[in-house]
Amino acid sequence: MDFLGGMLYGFSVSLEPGNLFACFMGVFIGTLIGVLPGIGPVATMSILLPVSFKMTATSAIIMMAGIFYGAMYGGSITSILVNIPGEAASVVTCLDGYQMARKGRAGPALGISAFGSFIAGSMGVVGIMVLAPPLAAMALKFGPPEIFGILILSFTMVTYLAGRSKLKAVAMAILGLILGTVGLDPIVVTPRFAYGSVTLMDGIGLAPLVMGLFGISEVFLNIEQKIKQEVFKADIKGLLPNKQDWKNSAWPITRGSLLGFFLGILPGIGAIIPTFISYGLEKKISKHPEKFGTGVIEGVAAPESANNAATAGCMVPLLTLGIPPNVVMAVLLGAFLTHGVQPGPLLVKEHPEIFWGVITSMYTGNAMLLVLNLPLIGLWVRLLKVPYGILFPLILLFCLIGVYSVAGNSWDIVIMLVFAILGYLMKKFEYEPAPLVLAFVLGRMAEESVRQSLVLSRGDLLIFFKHPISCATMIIAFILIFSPLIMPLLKKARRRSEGGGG
Amino acid sequence: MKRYQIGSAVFLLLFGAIICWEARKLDMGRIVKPGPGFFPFWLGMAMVIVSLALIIQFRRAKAEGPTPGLWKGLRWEKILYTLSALLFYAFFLEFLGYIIATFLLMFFLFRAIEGQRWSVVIFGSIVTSLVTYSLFKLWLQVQLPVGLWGM
Repeated sequence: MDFLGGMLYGFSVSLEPGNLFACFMGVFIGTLIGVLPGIGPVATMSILLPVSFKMTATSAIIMMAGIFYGAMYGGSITSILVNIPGEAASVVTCLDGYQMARKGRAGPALGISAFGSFIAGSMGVVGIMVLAPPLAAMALKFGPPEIFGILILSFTMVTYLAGRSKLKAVAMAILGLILGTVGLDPIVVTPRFAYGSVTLMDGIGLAPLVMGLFGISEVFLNIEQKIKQEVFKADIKGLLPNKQDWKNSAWPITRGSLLGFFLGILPGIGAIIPTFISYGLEKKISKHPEKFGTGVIEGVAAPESANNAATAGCMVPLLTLGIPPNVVMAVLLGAFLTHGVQPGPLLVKEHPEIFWGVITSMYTGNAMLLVLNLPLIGLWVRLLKVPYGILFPLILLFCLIGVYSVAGNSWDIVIMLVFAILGYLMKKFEYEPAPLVLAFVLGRMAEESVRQSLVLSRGDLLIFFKHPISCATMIIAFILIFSPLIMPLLKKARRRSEGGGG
Repeated sequence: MKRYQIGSAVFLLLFGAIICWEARKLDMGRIVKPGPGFFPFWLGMAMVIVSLALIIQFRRAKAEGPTPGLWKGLRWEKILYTLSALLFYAFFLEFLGYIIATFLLMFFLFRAIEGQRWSVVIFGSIVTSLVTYSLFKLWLQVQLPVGLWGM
């Protein structure tokens, strides 16, 4: 199917009433949880996994994707109005967005973040349409060594990009890989670490793991301290940015979109890092960098575009290679698999309705968000006033319902609680959960590809360097791993040579 | 913080060692055809090595003055209450059935943790249990347990 045909076909799928409704529900719930602090897209998508059983695969994926980019919209609302990022991807928006609100320009700040997100989302969708089919065609030729190479690169990127301690991130990735080995061995089907438990025999479920680590542990962290809730009493009038606003934001939106999309494709990046980079970039090339942080519209437009474009970008590796580049996509992969659909190079051929339907739904979804959310902002603000004492039991209950109904097994609740405690302690001791979850999901794939590769090569470990693509990924991974060791040496050498020359 | 950090790394070290020990009971296979124990064993080894490196790193880090307690000034007992309530829910959900178990859980959480008004507590727990039941079980047809009295 060619590009145009694919697009038309996609719209015919995504505009079907059922799918349109799923898309609406997705973006609506996404905005809702984006506004609410303490629950994010990852936990929400896992909660809704069992609900999606009854839907068609296409509707389910459309809804899940909608939650993700919808949350990006919602997150920016709280960042601007209350200076509390509803989502981690909206942290940067606080810097200038809240300052704009304090100056009485909450309306244009919300407006530009909605328009910027819409433009970025649309550009991202076009990006997927252009990039995904040729990538999928290329990926068809990948064997186990190539897959393993890409996975290794993903692991390295995730730990390399980890915040404070890379070593801790490595430890968490290993922990995730170990947790992924629980259950039946993928090749010879021997039970591992199950100790006679039927629940563990099936392996640890993604839903209990994710909801424990991201949903319940967050609630724990919130209830142990008294949360202050304050809503900035901004009169939100005139959501439309004026001409000057548009002039100032046009390039930041464009740059933010491109940056977000391409960074989003890379493993381990997700939607958060591009916002920081695009904000930094705008500040660097701006004629008035000193004004950043005092409420300039570029500081809202750029990161808000970047995070929406990134949500589109990170669909690319999942749809074409079947490899989720970040935690949200890992949950989306879970949704694909529960519907018996394997995303990857064959997706375009075997399930064109899902491939093109989901991509075009992102376009209609972004349009819906724009049309719906600007008038609904008043409602979202009122939602922020719900006291946490009422909110948190509901968040817990949704997690319980979500995790129980995956398999109707109350042991899954216990597993979820174990991971809730783990996640809580990890936060206390400053370990990051993202490498753990990604490694947990990719672990099975990694193990299979290593073992198949070794069988293929009759035990020759060099097979990973004999195939060009896996060799390239391995080399990049090694450079990343050793760069913290090499960089200081290089700097020292350069300083010495400069000192010697001068 | 330093002491806590070393503690966390020691925990990971022990965990890695246990994984190695347990993985040895599985078939390791050979490098030509790795068995089910192969991957877990080397992961356990990797964990041991990384956590040793972490311990060394933490020991060499300078202490940042007196360490503040991680739970100082926090209401950690609220977490214990919540956790016990959730565990209770896990074990009695299938016996009591969704509506009753949820009502009890919500009642406890609304009242005991943040101390809502009694009217909010009673009204809130009745409404949440019934509304979520209708929403998830009746409308979305998600499987929820009926329990003791067929509710």
